This record gives sequence, C-alpha cells and structure tokens, in this order.
Amino acid sequence: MLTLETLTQDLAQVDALKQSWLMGDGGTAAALPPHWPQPDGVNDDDRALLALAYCSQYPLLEQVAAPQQLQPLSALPMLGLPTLATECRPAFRQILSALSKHEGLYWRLFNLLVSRGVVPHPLDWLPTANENRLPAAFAPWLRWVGSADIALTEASWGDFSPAARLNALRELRRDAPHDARSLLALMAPSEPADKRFDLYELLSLGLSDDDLPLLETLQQDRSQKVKELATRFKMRLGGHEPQAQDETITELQGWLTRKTRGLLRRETLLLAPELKSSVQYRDRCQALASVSLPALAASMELTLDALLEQWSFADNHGKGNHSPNESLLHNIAASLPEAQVMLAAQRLLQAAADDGTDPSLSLRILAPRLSEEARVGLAGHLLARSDLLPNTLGILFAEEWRWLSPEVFSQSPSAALLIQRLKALASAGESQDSDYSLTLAMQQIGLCLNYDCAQWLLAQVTNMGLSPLHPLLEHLKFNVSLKQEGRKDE
Amino acid sequence: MELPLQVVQDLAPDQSSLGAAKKLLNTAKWPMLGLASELNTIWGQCQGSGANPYLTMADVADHGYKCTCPSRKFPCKHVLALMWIFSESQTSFVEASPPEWVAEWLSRRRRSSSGAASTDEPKAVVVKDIASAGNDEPVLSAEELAKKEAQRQKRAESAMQATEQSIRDGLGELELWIRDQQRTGLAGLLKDLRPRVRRIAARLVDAKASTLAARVDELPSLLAGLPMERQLARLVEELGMWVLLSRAWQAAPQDPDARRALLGAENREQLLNSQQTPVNGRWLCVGERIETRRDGLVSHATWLWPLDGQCASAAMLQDYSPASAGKREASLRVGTQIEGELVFYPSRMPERAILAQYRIVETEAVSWPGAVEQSSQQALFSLRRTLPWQRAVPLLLGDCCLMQDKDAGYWLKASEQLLPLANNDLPLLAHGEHLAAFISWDGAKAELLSVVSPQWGMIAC
Repeated sequence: MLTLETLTQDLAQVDALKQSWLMGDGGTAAALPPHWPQPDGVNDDDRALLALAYCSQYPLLEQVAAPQQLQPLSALPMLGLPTLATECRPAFRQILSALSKHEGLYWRLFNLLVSRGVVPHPLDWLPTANENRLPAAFAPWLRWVGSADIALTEASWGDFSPAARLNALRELRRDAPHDARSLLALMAPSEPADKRFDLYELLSLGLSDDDLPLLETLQQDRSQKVKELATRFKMRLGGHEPQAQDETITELQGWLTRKTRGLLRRETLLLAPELKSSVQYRDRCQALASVSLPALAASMELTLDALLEQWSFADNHGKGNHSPNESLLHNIAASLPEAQVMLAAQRLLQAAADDGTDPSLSLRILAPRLSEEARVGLAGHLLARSDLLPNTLGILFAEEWRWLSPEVFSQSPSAALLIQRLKALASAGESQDSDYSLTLAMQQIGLCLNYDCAQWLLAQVTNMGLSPLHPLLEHLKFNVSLKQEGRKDE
Repeated sequence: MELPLQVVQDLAPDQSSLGAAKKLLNTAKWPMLGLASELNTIWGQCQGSGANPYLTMADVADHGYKCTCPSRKFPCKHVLALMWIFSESQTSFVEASPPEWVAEWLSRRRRSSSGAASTDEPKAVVVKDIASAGNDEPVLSAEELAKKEAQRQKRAESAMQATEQSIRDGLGELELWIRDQQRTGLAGLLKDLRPRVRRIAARLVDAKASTLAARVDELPSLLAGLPMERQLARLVEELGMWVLLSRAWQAAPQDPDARRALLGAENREQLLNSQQTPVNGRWLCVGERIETRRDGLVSHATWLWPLDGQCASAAMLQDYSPASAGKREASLRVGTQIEGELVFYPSRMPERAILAQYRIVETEAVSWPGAVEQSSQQALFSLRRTLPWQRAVPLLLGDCCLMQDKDAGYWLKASEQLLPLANNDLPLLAHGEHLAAFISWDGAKAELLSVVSPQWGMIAC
C-alpha cells in the first residue's frame, strides 16, 4: 500500500529523473524505488526505459490548479420569435451561403423571416457585432455577440467603444426616443466634434417635434457641421428660418434658368445648364446640395413647391460626376419635410416614365425619408412599368411587400414581363442557362413578395413547365415554405 | 417511375463493378433507402467498409448520380447497387422528401443536355453482362478448395511470423532510439524534434508497426504550443507509453489491444466473422473529431452514446480516408439518433466498434446523466490500469457550464469538477449552462466535443 509519504517521494524521484533526462543521463541509469517492480536481470538500459514507463503514469496523480477568477459565460438569450421550422432550415442554410456576399439581399432574407414571425436557428446563423441593419428583433443577439449585454446609460457611457455606443444608441432611439434624446443631450457635448456629429445624426431616426428643443441648443454648438445638421433637421420638421440672400444663393439664382415648353399646355421648366468651366460646374452642383432650398426658392420668387414642380429632372442629369439632379435630391432628402420629398419623388418618377429611364439611383436618395404610405403610393407607378421589377420596388421597400395584393401583382406589366422571361426559359429546356439578371431578379423577388403573391407566382411558373427543382425558384419556394411552416407552428 | 436493368448494365464502367454491386443488393446493407417520385430521385445510405456509411443518390430519369465513397470508378458499385435494387424492388424504397444531402445535390446539379452527348468522343466498348455479374470466380471441387485453403493458411502463418519478427526488430530499434534520447538529452530531441521523430516513424512503417508509426509521427503536433516545462512532461509521458506498448506486445503478441495499437485494427469482415456479440439498442451521436494526419490520412472518429444502457461507455467509430480525396460528407452527425447493432472490437476496455446494421430514427428526448458517478480522473485511472498506453478517455458529463479565465482559456465546470479545456475556439452557442457535455479527458486537458443546450439542443464543438 502506497502512503502519502511514498507518493511524495515518488514524485520527487520522477522530477529528478526528468531533469537528468533533460540534459542526458550519459548512459547511467539511476536506482529506482523498490516498489517499482522490475524483471530479474535487467540491465541499465532496460532500467532506464522502465523508469520512463513508470514516469509516464505519474501525471495521473497531478491535480489541475483552477485559477482564482473564472467568469461564467452567459448563454445566448432567447428572442421573442420562434426559430425557423426544422423543415425550412436546409433551404435557409443554402440561401444564406449563397447570399453571404450579396449584402443587399442578405438583409432582405432576415427582414422576410422576421416579417413572417420567425428567426433563424442559431446553429445555422448568428449575427456578427457590426450587423446593424438587422431587424430590431435580433437586438438581444447583437448585444450578446458584441459582449455589450449592459444597457447604455450615463454611468456606462464610458464602457462602450464609439461604434458600440452608436449601435446601442441607435437601438435606444428606436425603442425609446425620449431616453435616447436625453442621453444625447447629457453625454454628447463632451465628445469630440466628429463623434458628436455622428451621435446627433442618430436623431434622424424618428425625428419629431419633441426633438426641437435639443435642435435649438445644437444650433449653438461649437462645430459648424453640427450647427448645419441641426438646421437641416429643423427644416425637415418645417422650421424654416428666414435667411438673408447670400453670395451662394445669388450665384445659383443666376445659374438656374427658366424655359417654357409645350404648345397646348405650356409649362415652365427650371434648368441647370452645363458650364464651360468644369470647376465652376462642380462648385455650383455642390452648392445646390447644401443651400437652403426655401431661401433659394424665395430668391427666385417661387414657392418651394413651385421650385420642385418646375425642376426639370429630364434636362438636369448633368455630365461626368456632377449631376444637378442628384445634388438637389440630396438636399431635399436632408432638409425638407416629407411632403416636399414626396412631391420630388412623384416628379422624378413622372420624368422617368416620360423618358423611359430607370429612376432607381435617384429614388434611392429619397426613399429613406418616405413613410410606408407614401412609398405604397409610389409603388403603383413603378408596377405600371414593365421594366422596373423588382429592383426599383426593392429600393422603396426593404421589408416584405405586404401591401401588394395578388390581383394587382398578377395584372401588372412588371409581372407579365417576368413571367414571359421565365416562360422563354422553360420552353428553351433545361440546357438553357438562365441569364444573370433573371437569376438576380428571382432571388430578389423571392425574398420580397408576400406569401400570397409568392404562391401565385410559383404556381404560374411551375404550371408553365419549369422544373420545381430549377435553382431560379429556390428563393421563391423558400418564401412559400415559410408561410406554410408558420401555419403549422400556429 | 421505372429503371430498366439494362441501364444499370450500360452505366457500369466494367464487369467487376457489376459483380461488386451485386454483393450490395442485400437491403440489410442499406440502413436507409428513399425515393421522391416527383423528382425522379432515389437515395440510400450504404454501409461500406468504412465505419461511417456512404451517402448515395441517383436520378432515375437522366441517370445522374453521386456517392460519397472514395472510389475512382464512376459510377461506383454503391450507385450501381442502388439503381439495381430500385430496378428490381421499388418497394424497398420509402417515399419521402429528400434529406438535406440529397436536396443539396439536386439544387447544385445541372442536367446534361441532350445535345452534349453527341459531341462526346466514342468510348471504348467494354463487354458487360449483368446476368453473369458475380459469377466470374471459377468453380472448384471440394478437394481443390481444401488444398487452396491449406495453402492460404500456410501463407498466412508464414506472413504472420515474418510480420512479428519485423515488428520485434522495429520495436527494438524504437527502444534503442528512446534510450539514446535519454542518454543524450531530451532537450536536444525537443530542439530537433520533427526530423528525428520522422526518421524513427519511417523505420516503424518499414517494420509494419504502422499505427504506432503514425502516433510517433504526431508527437510534434502533440507538443506544439505547449510551454517548455509542459513539453518535457508530455514528452516523458508519451515516450513512456510507447515503451509500455512495446513491452506489452512483446509479452503477448496476440493481445488484441496491443496488436491494434501497433499494427492497426482488424478489417470489417474479420470482425463480423469473429465471435463478438453485437450490441443492440438506440445510440446517439455525441461527438466527432476530424484530423488530418502527417501521413496524409484524414482520421474521422465518431462517438455514439448508448441510450438504452446497452453498454457502459461510448462506442467509437473510426474511419480513415486519404486527404487528397477531399472533404467527405458524413451520414452520422452530432445529434443524430440511430437504432441498430454495433460490433465492438475485442478489447479489455471495449470502445472502438463498427456499425453492423442500423437505421436512423427520429430524434427523441434524451435523459442526460444528473450527476457523474466517477470523476474524469478516476475514469482515466480505470482506463490506464488496463491500457496504460491510451492517452484519453471519452466521458459524458451531466449538468455543466462553460467558464473563461482571464487569459481567455476555457474551463468546464461539471458538479465538483473544474476541467481546463484544450479547445482554443468554441462555438458561441456552447456558452452558458448545459444539460450535458461530451469530452475526451487526457489528465491535463479535456477536449470538448459537444454540449447539450437546454434551448438549442446538441451543439458540436
């Protein structure tokens, strides 16, 4: 029977042997403890090897020393929505892997899931800390992966990195705008100018009249950029302050020219003519992007609405990198109330319809400022054109197109053209590879359509003979399966 | 949906493939046979020579196919057998929606166009006849058979003697090499570890002790990243185990445990023909370890936990495949439940096994162990008392939680035990408290292979 004392001696012996082997025993084997049995007649070499064999088992006696401070790792929090049904998970994984490099569609996938009342299983997907375009339903997971599971308050302000703070504040502004405003008013003034600007910019989320007192104080800020931001926000709320005519306004007023067109129905158009000097043209475009539009309209003896109505989107595309249209739209989106933004959007779509051009890029500037109701209003114009589905509609709606009825969709020229292209593919047989634009359109539409429209389109496509296994239909099938699974869960 | 037998014959690359496919027509070798009529697709899992079944699928309309076996014949015998079974017995296939591995294949594949075939170079005509498949062995009389068997036994005996002598010589050289390292200093060995170890491992390969050779070859990886002091301790431990293994085999060359640790395991046929009693019941896949070894083989270990108490510890399925064959899809993933027969390799501490017959079953709720009956260290003691050259013992622990020290090292707290983990990275979902964890404990560190989250189920680590 081994005693504690013997074991202690053994461990010391093991250590001594290890040390001797580390530098080399030179061929002399040490004497072994008597309770390490050895066969009779072993030579020195055998004894050394046996010693090694005995030593190999002594680590079993060692106890692992636990460190003093061990931090339990918190588990992933549960979300308010159920996870995707098991049957839908393989399709989700497949779509996710295909979309991981396609940022635009990546967000739509999660918007669609949340819109249908489910979230992915965390074994299939977890967000990374900087994915701040995800729907609000994922906020607890985002906080958890960012290791920022503490609330942003006056006391914890310093514990957050600038990026994490912005994310937390964005979330707070979405959930409790008043608290976010109070926190900003209290903590942001001590930040450097560039950080301060980024923080105050978050006020654009759900900007309301309640923010006016804070905006008043920001107009006294040390930073000119912050002052201008506050002024623009006030203007969005309809708070235009009379402004003395300055040099810029005079210059723009001299540049913009009016022209009448039409015989039966005469209309006045406002043009921003190209200039010989490209530097001067660039400067004027830049000025147009930041000038006070109410002041500019007043200087031209126009109302703001008249200025927007007279602006000729068809003639003011500009040249090279400088576009008066784009400058004006940026200015409208940054500083005018929603009614004027809507007016500009309608004028823009009208001009695009007349020219047959794609208004997507311009519409992208205005879309974030439009309410859902306004965007649904514009969607009707877009569906009437056969060449704009789904890209331009996708710019207006980041979420599922719940507003679209199967009747409207099925009768729209857009859907008709899409079906025609799919029909051509089906009749060409499976040897025909689909073109990239059709693939992209089907991916996008599969992630945007509501269940009823998706089901209608899938039925149309499969009835015309396209194999249900065709990769083009992957997203559409997933869309339809989501609702089915949702029903099961219900 | 029909598939004429002629198609199977036409698809076969040669007559021997048909013969090999015929041996797989027994549906007992197919734990799963499925069919999706709407998609003209059939699939199955075929128990091949590996521990993990192959995933085989085919399109009966355009005769496209895929199999996860490493065969270089296209189609392989598994695909031919799958089509053959379908051709002769459609009722063996269960109508179902395609499993994920079939769905993925379907979505990725492009059907061949009818025009493409005409541009192909004409292939050399290979004479094949499905009717005579498997009948190519000459018929021998009883006398000739007995003579042939006697010759075979004689050859086997003389080969075994030659092998034993070769191994004895190889082990002698290994012991001499170890003694040289003791004499000249382990510090020098640590400094020049890789080339020195490579040389003796190559000698062991020549001596036919290939499993020990692979273990010797892995020594640098085992010590990599450890601090100097731990390196020395680990080196002494490992060299000592090699000596123990060498002496154990020399004392009893037929001992199955020592033999397996030196030469490698018996093949599937030998094991099935041995007197080992199969163990029946439900099994849960609790862990998987895939490693690419220095000898170019990918080692794939899968652990199955007995859900009906049919045995005391986890069974391990071990597969090897060449790294050059690429990543293989496995049919048994962590969390999969099966019901069937396992045959354990004969051992004083049975762990390694093969799947004889099984079917995948719906995942049912599992009652996890509430408290651990013996500590991890006690379990390792028990193992080492019997097989002192075994490095680690697999263990299923009950309620546990994951913790982290100030150096970002992971620890697992289970009952009163606090085990340092060897894993550098763990999935985020492994954080928190769990119903159970499956580990491999080597006395110094535990490798966490899976955890059972109360919310998210089994998570492979």
